[in-house]
Amino acid sequence: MAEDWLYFNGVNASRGEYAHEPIPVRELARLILGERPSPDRIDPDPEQRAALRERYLADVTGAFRVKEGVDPTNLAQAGWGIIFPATFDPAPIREALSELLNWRRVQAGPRYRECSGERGYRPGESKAAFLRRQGAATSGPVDPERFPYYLLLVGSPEDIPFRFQYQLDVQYAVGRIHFATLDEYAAYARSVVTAERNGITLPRRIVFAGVQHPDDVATSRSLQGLVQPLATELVGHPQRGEWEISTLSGSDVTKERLSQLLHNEPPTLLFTAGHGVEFEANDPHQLYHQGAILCADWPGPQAWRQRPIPPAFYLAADDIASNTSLHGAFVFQFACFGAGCPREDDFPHLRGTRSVIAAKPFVAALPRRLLSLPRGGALAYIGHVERAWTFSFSDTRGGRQIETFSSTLRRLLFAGAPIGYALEFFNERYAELATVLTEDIENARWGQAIDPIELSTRWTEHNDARSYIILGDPATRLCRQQATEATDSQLQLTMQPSSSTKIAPIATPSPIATESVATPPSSAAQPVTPVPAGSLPPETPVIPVALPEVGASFGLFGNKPAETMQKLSTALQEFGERLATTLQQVIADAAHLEVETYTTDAPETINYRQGDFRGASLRAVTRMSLDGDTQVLVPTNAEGIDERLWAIHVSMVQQAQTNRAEMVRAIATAAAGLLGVLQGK
Amino acid sequence: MNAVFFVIEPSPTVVTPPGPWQPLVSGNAFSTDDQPDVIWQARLPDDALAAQSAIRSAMSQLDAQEHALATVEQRLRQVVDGAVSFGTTLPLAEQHLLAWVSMGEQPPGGASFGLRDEVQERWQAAQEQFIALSTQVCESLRSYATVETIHGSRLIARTRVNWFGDVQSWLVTDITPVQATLHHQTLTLALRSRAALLRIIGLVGRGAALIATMVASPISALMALPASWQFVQEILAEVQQSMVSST
Repeated sequence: MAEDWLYFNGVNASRGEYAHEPIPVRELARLILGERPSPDRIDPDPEQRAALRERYLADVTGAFRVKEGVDPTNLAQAGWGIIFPATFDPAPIREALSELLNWRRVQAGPRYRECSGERGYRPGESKAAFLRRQGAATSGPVDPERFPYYLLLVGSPEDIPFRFQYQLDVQYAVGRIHFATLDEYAAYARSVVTAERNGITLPRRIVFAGVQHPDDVATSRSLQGLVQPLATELVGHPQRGEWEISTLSGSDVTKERLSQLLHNEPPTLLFTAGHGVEFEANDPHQLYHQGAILCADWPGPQAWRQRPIPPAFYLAADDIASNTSLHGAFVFQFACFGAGCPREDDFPHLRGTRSVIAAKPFVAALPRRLLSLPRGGALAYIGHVERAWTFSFSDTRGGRQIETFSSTLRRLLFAGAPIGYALEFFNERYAELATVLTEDIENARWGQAIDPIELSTRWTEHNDARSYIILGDPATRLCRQQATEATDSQLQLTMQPSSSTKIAPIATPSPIATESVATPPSSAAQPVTPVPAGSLPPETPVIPVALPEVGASFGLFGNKPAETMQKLSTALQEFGERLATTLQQVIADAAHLEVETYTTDAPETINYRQGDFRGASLRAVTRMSLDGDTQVLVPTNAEGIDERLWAIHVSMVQQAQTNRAEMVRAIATAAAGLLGVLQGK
Repeated sequence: MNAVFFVIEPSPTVVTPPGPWQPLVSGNAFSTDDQPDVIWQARLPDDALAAQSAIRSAMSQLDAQEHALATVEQRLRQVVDGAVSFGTTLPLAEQHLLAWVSMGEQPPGGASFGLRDEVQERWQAAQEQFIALSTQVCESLRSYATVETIHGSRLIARTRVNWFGDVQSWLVTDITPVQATLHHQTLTLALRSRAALLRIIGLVGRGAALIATMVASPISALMALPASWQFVQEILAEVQQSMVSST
């Protein structure tokens, strides 16, 4: 009967079949216990087992992850640190990440820490040994004054093993980044800082994508037991607010649809559940495609009949175009190997010996790609190292357990907590299961009978919960939407006759809509001074100024409140008019952007202010219109296109586009900020 | 040679823009010409690594100030919500704001002990500064920004940007990729600083609206503007202070 069997998520693309055949739970229980049951099978490090138990007890008693009085969601209190391997010179990567490091240094203040060189992670080091060297406690609540709660590991799992990450994660909030190039590190750093500083444009939308293949029990279960109930729970949750939640399921989750979603309509959270493709250790695809999302295009094990699985059936890193933007998004992939692959099998019980499954451990390529997109990548990717199991959300007795997933998503999305803190629910479960399992095995060691189904369930859940990791900075969180600012940036220029005594609105409508947002209620009782606007062009908006009643005494103004106020209001009036005029010109000119690049032997001799460019050669021009019409003059030299100068010019064009958007936003923010003041609110 | 970053304006500036900039005055000519450009000039050392390092450090400074500005509203809200009270550990910005509010709630001519005079003096200085800032930004809205990068003793690139975003650049013919990057970064720094200065105005406005809600007397946000401006200035000063003490 199906309930007595254990199914694995994972399809071996080299062989075109399940990576691991389902096995009866009783058989698994026998393998877990072995001939001589030992807690070593849970974790060979007794210190780590003690730490897991301590964590479990702390969770049971409601103790906090960080010491009393520290807000774990506030970096200034919780701290932030970065850990490099001691074995390599961190300077180039540090340099590439400098934008992020500077940003975090400011946020965390004295609780910012960099561990590199002597202080970095040393090969083979356990969590306890590492923490001791840092002067931090090796168990118990985190004291951020001694070592920060949020920790970003930098490097491959060869340099800093996954095992160290799991161990550290029991006590701290840990993430990891590992990229192939410095540009990717820099791109990720830029994405995080830009998202946190400027906000993001992604809609508040969650998409659950639950793949289901014909004749495939594993994906039927992940769809029905995880994706659908999870989506349903979040849809009906009172904290949901304005979040739009949609589900793609079954045969709809094709590679084309998923690709379209990521490229054209990315949500703030993409949650996928299904098989991750897996390859043999000697397969050249392994490094690039292992963990890729097997889509509904695969017709299932019966129809496919053990042929190698082609890339057309799965979404891999190389399917993501470089001009894609997922800026500010989070991705949660429930699948085997979605986050990475260890060198050796984590489940030796299944084969009797620990086998090599990859030439070296690695972080999966798809998350690396999504995090390092040059135009803005995802902020964090939550995935699984090694195999993921259906027992995570559904045990053999029919019980459903999605609260860990649900709580994590709610804390991340609805409460806005950093991802490292949101994922603590998985660590709680890992600690609980490890502790209970250790006791079970201790009992079995002394001859006590253990229910094989219970044992298999716990063991599977334990492995599953342990191996969820964060790729990315664990302190990243859902960023505010730029929509608020974009709203500001689309200041409505509403004409107000100067003779009017009503409050004239500078409304802040949606970027597309042109109608005014309702004017805030005006205080009709307040006297309103008409604005002298005779010198302005008729379409210039008028910002009315409402002076406080002269009778409203306020000691700080001395005896001349009206005079003082008049001076301020006049200055602001002029400023507001200038802002409005500039914005109006910008909007009128928005359909056109022009960038010219000249070369000259001596730029200081060019009389540029008078428009006299003698002595300079116009080498490159870009003229862009909103209607898509672009004219380009490309610089050439004896060899053809002058690539060097063209690259400089292109960077100027990008700068110009960024600057224009930024400037409109800044003007709008300034105007919106003054609006309330000028309207006498 | 150490790197220096100048912002050269036709009139004396009251407020230095966020970032590493030091103000210089170019003076106004009595002519009918357009408003002179505001020039943002980076004078970088000849050594490329030192130049890059100087730009990075300048960016960090701007990052820190932008971050501090991003905390202004939250800190104000904490004061408004009563989450802070007088105390020796309170940052200066909050202390001064609470003093201002407290004074504002006393009737004129009430017990003074000298504090009222001090607060009133600060308030008037802040008011004048804010008016001057509005004028300064207003003038800059009429003019171009010209960004210049001097590498060693040579002007390697100049870029002129108007408020509508159009860009013209003049580069030395033999510009190297490193120099091009230096100029690009200088340009980024200058434009970000310019935008940050503008944002401060809006921030002060929003802050004033919050502060106005703290005072029991019927005041408008307009009356609270100088207090909000002073609060922002003091937060920026905190950043400056922390950067000085960390170097």
